[in-house]
Amino acid sequence: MNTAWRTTLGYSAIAVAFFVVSVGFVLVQVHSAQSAPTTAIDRSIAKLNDEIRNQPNESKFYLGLAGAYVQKIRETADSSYYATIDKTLDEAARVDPTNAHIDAMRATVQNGRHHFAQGRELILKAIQQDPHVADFYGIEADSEIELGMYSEAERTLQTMSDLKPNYSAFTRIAYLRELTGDIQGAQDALKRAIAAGSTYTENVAWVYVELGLLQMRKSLSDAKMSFDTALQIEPQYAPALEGLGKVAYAEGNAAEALSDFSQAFALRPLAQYAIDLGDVYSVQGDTAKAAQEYSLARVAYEKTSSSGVSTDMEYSLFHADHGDSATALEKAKRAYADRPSIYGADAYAWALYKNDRAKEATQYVRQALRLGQNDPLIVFHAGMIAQANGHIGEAHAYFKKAESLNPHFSIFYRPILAQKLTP
Amino acid sequence: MKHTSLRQVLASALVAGTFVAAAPLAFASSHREAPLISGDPKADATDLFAFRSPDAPSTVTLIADYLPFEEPAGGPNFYSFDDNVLYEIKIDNNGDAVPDMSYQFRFTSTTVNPATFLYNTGPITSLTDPDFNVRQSYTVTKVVYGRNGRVGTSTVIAQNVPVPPVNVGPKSTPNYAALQAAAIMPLTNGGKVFAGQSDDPFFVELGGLFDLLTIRHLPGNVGGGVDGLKGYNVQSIALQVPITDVTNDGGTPTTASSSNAIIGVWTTASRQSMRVLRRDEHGRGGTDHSGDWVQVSRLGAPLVNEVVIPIQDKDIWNSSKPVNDAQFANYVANPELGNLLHGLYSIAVPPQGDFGTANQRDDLEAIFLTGIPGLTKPTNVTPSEELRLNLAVAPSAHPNSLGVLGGDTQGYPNGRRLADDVTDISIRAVAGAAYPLFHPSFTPDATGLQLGDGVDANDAAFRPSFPYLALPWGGFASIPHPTETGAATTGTGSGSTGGTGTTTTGTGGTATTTTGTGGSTATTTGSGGTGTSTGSGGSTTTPSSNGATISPPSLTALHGTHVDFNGRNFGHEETVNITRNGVMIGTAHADGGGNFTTGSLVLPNTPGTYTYVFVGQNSGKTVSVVVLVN
Repeated sequence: MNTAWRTTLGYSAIAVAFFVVSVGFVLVQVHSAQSAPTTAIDRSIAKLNDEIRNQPNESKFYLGLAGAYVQKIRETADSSYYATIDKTLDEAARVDPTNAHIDAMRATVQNGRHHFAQGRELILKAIQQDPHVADFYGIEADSEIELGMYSEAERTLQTMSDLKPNYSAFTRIAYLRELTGDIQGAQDALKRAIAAGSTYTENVAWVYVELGLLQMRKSLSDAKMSFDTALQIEPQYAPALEGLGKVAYAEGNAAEALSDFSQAFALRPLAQYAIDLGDVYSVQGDTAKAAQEYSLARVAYEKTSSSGVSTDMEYSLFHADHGDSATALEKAKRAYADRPSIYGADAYAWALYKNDRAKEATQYVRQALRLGQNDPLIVFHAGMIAQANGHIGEAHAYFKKAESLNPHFSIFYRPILAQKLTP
Repeated sequence: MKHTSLRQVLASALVAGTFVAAAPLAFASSHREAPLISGDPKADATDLFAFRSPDAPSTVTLIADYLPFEEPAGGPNFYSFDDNVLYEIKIDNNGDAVPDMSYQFRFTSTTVNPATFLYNTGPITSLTDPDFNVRQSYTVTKVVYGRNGRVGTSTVIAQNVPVPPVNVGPKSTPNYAALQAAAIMPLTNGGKVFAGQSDDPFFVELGGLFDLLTIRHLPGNVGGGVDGLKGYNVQSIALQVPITDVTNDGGTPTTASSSNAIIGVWTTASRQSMRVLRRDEHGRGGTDHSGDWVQVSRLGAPLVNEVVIPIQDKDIWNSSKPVNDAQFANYVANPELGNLLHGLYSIAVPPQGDFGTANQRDDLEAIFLTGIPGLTKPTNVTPSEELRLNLAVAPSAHPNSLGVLGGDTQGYPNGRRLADDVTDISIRAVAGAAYPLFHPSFTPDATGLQLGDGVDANDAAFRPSFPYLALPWGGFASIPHPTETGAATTGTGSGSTGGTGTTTTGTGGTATTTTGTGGSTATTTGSGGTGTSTGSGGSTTTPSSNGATISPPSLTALHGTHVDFNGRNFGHEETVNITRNGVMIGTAHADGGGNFTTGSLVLPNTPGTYTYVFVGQNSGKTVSVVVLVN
C-alpha cells in the first residue's frame, strides 16, 4: 500500500506538471505505449489500412476502419481519433456517395461528440434508405435517450430487438430499464448480453462493469465479483478498476480506493477518475490534494472538448461542485438546450441551485424526475433544492429515498447526505 | 461459408450483418457508451457440413460450427454456447423449401462453485471433476413437422449431455482427447452427438480472397496461400444419425434418383426478442419481458452470406426462411463476384444478367438454389438456398477435395465434407466451370478453371471417426496468434513507462529469485529505484544451471502494472512458454541469438507473491522469477 500511495502521489504531481507544460502529454504516452499492434483492434486497424492501400476505391474498408477506430476510442478513451474517423468517412463518401452506412457512421460520431440532435437526424436518413439494418436503430435509440425522447427510444429499441435480439440490443434495453427504475429488469438484460457475448472482450467486460454498478445498490460483494470478472476478461480495464475503487471506498478502505482510481486514471486519463480521486481527498479533508486532482479533471475536460466532444453537461456538474458556479450555469444552459434529457435537466437545476436560484431550479429538477425517483444523484439534488426552498419534509423524503436507492451513490455527497439524515 | 472471419480479422465489423459503428465512449457516466459492433459470435454460424459417414455409410453426419476465431490462449470463460440461443440443424427432405424436421439444441450453463468466476479450480480430469467449475450441458430434441409446417412430433433424443471443457492447456485439461471422447454420447434414435470446441475445420485465404479477390500466386492452383483460420478453434455441434432418420419416407434410398434420396440442410440460430419495458395492458407493472423468437443466423451452402448477399441485406438474409429465397435470386443469377473476376483478372466469365432474363446464371442457380440435375435437384424443387445432399451416393474410396468439379460426386456441392475445398470450387464455379452443363457450347476460361486461394487443406488433420473434426488447439501447446491483451506477446516493444503512471516502483522490499531446472535458489534484496521508473528491484544475474537468464532477476512492483522480462541464452530460435503460478499466461519468441523480450507483461491485480517460469519449448531451458506484487 505504501508503494501504491507513493506511486499515486508521485504520478499525480508529475502528470500535473506535464499537463501544464503540454496538454495531452498523457494521451500521447498512451499512444506510443500502444504503437505496436498487439491488441485485436490494433491488428484490425493495421490490416484495414493495408486493404485500403491495395484497393482504395472500396468503401467497406473505409467503413471498417472508421468502425475500428470507434472501438479504439472505446479502449483508449482518446477522442482525438474522431478526426481520423472524419477523414476516413470523407474518403468512403468519395468512393461510395450513396452508402447509408456512411451516414450511420457519421451519426455514431455525432453521438460520440454528444451532438445527439445531429446524430439522430443523420441516422434517420440512413434508416430511411436501409430500414432493415438492426444496428441503425441502436444508434437512433442512443440519440433519443440522450435527447430525453424516452418513448421514442422505447419504440426504436423494440424494433431493434425484434429485428436482431443480441448484445447490442440487450445492453441498450438495460439502460432504458435502469432509467425507468426497473433495476432487476436492467440486470436481467445485462446478463442476457453477457450470455450473448461480443467479438471484443472489452465489450463483455464493459457489461460486467455496468452490472456491478447496478449491483452496488444492494450488494457490494456481488458488485465486487462482477468487477473482478471484468478484470479477468480484460486485464487493466479502467472502468472495472473504478468500480473496485467504489466498492473499496464503500467498505471503508479509502487507501485501496485511491490506488484503484489512480490506476484507472493512469490507464485512461478521463476526468471522472480524477474526480473520484479528488472526491476521496476532499472528503478526507485534504483540500490541497483534492485541488490537484480536480485540476487534472479540468485539463482532461479541456482536452476532450478540444477534440470536438461537447462536455457541457458533465463539465457543468463539475463546476457546480468544484469550480465556478457562473461557469456551471452557462454550461448547464447550453447542455439543457442540446440535451433535454433527465440528466440535462438535472444539470441545469443543480447549476441554478448553486447560483442561489433554487426557486427556478424546482421546475427543472421536476423534469429530471419525470421517469420516477430512480437515480439517487438526481433525487439527492431534488432534496437539496427542496430544502433551499424551505420544503423541509419533502427534502427529507428525497434524502431518505436517495439513501435507499444506493447508499454509495456518491463519494462526495455521502457525508452531506448522512448529515441531512441525522435527526 | 458465411465466415465471420472477415468481420473479425479484417474489420471486426465490416461485412455481413455486423454494421460498422459502435456508440463511442463518452466522457462521463451520463452517456451510456454501449458498443454496437457485437458481431454476435455465439449465434454466428460459420460453416455447415453434411455427408454420408465414411466409416458408417448407413448414417449421415451433420456438423454446424459457431463462434469463430477462438484464440487457444484466450480466456476460457469466453468460449461457450449461448444458453439463450436455440441452435438448429434443419432438413427439407422433399424439396419444397420448408423444413420437414429439425434437430434442436438448447444449452444450460452451471457453475459448481458460485463463489469463484474461475473456469477451473484445478486440473480437469473428467467431465464430472468438481474442478470443472463453469460447464455446459445440453438437450437434443428432434422435431418433425406436419404437412402444414406445424410441429407434428417433438422428441427429446438426448438430455444432460456434457460439453467438454475448452482446451485450456495440459495443466488444466490434461488428456484432452479422453475428455472429448467422453462427451460423445448416444442418441435414442440410434445416432451419436457431440457439442464442444474443435479446430476450425475451414481453410481459406482470408487476407485477400473474399474482400480483395487477391490471389497470392495466380491463378491459385499452386498453393502458397495463407490459411486465415490456422490455429483457431470454433464451437461445433455434430450429429451422426441413421439415414432413415432424415429421409421423407423413413427408408434408405437405393439409387440417386430415388424420390427419398435428396435432402436440403441448413442451420439456424434464434433468440427471443425482449419487451423493452415491462408493461401490462395499462402501460405499467407487467412482469413479462419475453418476446418472440427471432432467427439471427442462417447458413446452408458455403460462401453465400459473404460473397452473394450484399451488406445492406445481411440482417434480412439472416432472419429469412428458404421458402422466401426468391427475393435473393438476383444475387445468384447476376453475381457481383463474376464481374469482379472479369474486372480484376480478365476471366472470360459466362454472360450474366438478372433473374428471369436470358442471361441469368442458371448454372449458379442450380448450385446455390435448386440443386444440380441428376445429382442434388429434387423433383418439383422450390428454389431455395440449402446445402443439398444426395444420400444414395456412397462415400468415395478416394475423395477429391474439388468434389463434383474434381469428378468426385460425393463431394461439394453434393453435401459438403470437411476436406472439400469449397473456396476453390466456388470461385471456379463463378468463373463458369459448371456452365457447360447448361450451355454445352460454352468453353470455360482456362485460367478460370484454375482459380483458387492457394489454401488446399486444413491446418490440422481430420480424424477417421465421429466427430471427424480435429481436436481444438490448446492454450499451451500452440499459440499461433498474438494474444489479445495482457499476456506476453512475441517480439513487441516494451510496456508503457513514465508519464502514463502505469509504472512500477521498486522501492525496497525483498525479492526472491529462483532458477528452474537447476534447482538452486538465490535470494536478493531488491534495491530498485524510487519514483516512477520501470521497477526492477535487485540487480544480480540469476544463476542458472543451464545458462538461461532473465532480467530483471527479481521484482517488487505495483499490481496491474506492465513489466518486460528480457530472456537470454535460450535456444537459437524457439517459443518460450510463460506460466504464472503454474498457469500458462503467454509466450515469447526467442530470436536467432536466443534472446527475447516479453513486451508489456501485465502483473496481476491482486497483491501477493507470484512465480513466473519461462521455459524454452525446444531447448528446455528454464528460469523462474518470484515477483512480489503489492
